Amino acid sequence: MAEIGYAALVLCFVISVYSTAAFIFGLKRGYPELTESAERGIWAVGGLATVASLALVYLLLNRDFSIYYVYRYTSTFQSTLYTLSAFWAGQEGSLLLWLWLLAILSILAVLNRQGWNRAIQSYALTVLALIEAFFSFLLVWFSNPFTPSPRHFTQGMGLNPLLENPGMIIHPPVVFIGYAGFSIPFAYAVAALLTGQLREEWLRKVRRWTLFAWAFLGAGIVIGGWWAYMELGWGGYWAWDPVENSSLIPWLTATAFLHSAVVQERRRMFKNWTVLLILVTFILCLFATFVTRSGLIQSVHAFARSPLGYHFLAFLTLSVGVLGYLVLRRNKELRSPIELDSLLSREAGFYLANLLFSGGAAVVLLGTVFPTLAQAFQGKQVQLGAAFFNRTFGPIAVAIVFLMGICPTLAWGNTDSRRLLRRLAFPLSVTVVSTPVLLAAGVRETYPLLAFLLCIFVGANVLAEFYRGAKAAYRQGNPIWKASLLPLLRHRRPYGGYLIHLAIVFITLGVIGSSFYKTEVHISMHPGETVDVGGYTIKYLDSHQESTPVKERFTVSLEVRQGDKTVAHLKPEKNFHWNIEQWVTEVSLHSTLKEDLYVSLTGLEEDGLASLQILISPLVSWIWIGGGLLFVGAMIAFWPSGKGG
Amino acid sequence: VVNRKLLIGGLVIIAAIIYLVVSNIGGTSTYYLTVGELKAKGPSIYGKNVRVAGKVIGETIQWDPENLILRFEIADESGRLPVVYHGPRPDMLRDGADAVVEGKYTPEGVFEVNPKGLMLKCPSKYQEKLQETGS
Repeated sequence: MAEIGYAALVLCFVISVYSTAAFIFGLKRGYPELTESAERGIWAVGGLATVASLALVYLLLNRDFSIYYVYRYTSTFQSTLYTLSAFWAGQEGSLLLWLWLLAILSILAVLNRQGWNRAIQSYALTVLALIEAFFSFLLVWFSNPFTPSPRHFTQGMGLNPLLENPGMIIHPPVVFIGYAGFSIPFAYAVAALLTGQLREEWLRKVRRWTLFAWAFLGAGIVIGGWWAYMELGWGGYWAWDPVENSSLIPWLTATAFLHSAVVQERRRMFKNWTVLLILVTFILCLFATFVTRSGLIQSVHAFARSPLGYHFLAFLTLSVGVLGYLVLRRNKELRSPIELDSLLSREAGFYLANLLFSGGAAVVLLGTVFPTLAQAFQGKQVQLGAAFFNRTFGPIAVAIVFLMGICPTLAWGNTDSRRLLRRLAFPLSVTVVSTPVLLAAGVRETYPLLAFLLCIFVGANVLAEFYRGAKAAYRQGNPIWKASLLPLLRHRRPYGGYLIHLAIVFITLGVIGSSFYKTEVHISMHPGETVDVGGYTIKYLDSHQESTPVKERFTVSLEVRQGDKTVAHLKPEKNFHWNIEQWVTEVSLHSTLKEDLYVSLTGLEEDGLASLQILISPLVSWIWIGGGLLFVGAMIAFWPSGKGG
Repeated sequence: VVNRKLLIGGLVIIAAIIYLVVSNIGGTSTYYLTVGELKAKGPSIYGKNVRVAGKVIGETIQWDPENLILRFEIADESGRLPVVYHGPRPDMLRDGADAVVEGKYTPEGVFEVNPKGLMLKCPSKYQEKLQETGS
């Protein structure tokens, strides 16, 4: 099976190189047969990448420890689901997943030829074949998942227990669908640059692809945060770690692209912005893949240092050079003067939003590579704390939320200021009314107060938008329930967008609530003792110990009461895993929409003395709800609409 | 005129972002010092946020589980440094673990670690095993 998998990868490389060449010759010399043959090559690579992936799945499920990758990430104790997720537990499998997704998406691109100009289609597929060639090159020569084990093993190492979490089953593939998904709009953007056909058609075609990739990347980032929150046991979900940052950066530039593309479609401006943003987004996706592999940037997520980093760096540098040349060559066609009739116009708002998204991306990128740069140029080892990102990205994010409240009420071209005031009347009055409520609830600091008020403003605005849409549908004679859903179904693009804005509001609420109003207590307790924290009375009942084949398990039972009511029984664990010979804590939490009570067991002495970390994190659930809503909103906007909405 | 206003608005945003970066990069970056460098700085370093890396000396670990106070020493080629940390005892604290501590040096010669300022990295048995079996 391993031989089949490896042979499939070798063929992937050969065929994708052939396809790249055949597309170019077919186009330059005008041989349609050659182009067709190259397209069959894309199909073949899709099939072969699937064969290689299924071969790996087969080896994993059979726990074939004669394959080194299988030995490293599975064991006979592991459940089937986690054994499957071992596919992307390591570098080799992750790259194979990348290639597989890319190959499948490329087939979709071949199928989706309708309406494309031949040259654009051929060039785009050339680019995709070239990326496939790069990934299969890495897999064949530097990161082969089918490498045999150095000696005979009867048991595998097993998955790192930190990865044994539902979040980790789906987080990596979801993020990779995002990364790989951006290769399609990227390829068409490069094709548009090569052919010089930089009008709006290519945009309209790739906008939905981008939305698809964007939704997955966004959802993947939130799932990653949820995993960190549930599994790492420190009560946070985002640490500004280089790997987290490098997934956020392309998401930000892609967000800018989506907004910029709308302006180009409507007003034929921002041509240069739009094309640059999608090029940069894909390059940043490659960078993100590279960061985890290189060891160049220190990170808890980083795999061991490997030569792979240099190949990625070489490929990145080459791509940036070629793309830079292309953009400069098309400078004339890309020039699109910003001609605004009024500052109170949607395009002006989008222009500022673009600057903020790009600026935010630049700030995070700078912070991520700063320690590496300082090391290289100053020779000093420096660490940038999370505070840097909070203080720089935080204000930018707040400004973005502010624009999110204003922009949708602005009209294209020019906004009648009286009409604007009328539309803002409701959200503004809700905001004003909420101010004393927030003050009374104890929100006194400027920054969180401002952020909460902005969230309320934007949220009220979105609701008003839905109300207006529903009212119009109701007037047309639809029953209320139908009228309230119709705007979402009929005008998927704008209303999907409003849902996404609402999702961002939820996420912002969660982030502000949990960062500014977190209560954290470290305490040691004997069985039978109780502690009062933030309105909860927590009683330590007893402790429990058991041995399993994979771990020594220590649990404490806690009873949580609010007033006279028992609201939860929590059982945080602390386990010693034999395979990694390390302790891993499993947190236990009582989660409500208002706040999470989050308990982790940090130590347990022989006599039952337990050290607990108790955390009360307000509004944190809204981050996960927002993540889900973001995906749903994007899918609604993504769904093809008959009426061209 | 509108375009000029917009250009100004854009420049203001860019300037604001640059200001945010420049004004924060100094205050939030922490330099790594060796134990020797730290001690050589004398009183000028008291109260300043720095990072020191070293190996944990197992026999110096003192853990008070009632009050959650952890004391131990770390060492590098240039010397030994006693540190104190208030908080839970990390799972990975053991002899020979690579520690990075972020905090402040005090006149008493003890390094006061910030909350969450204790980071440990073990050349884990997991990786050691992998290295033994690999290549």
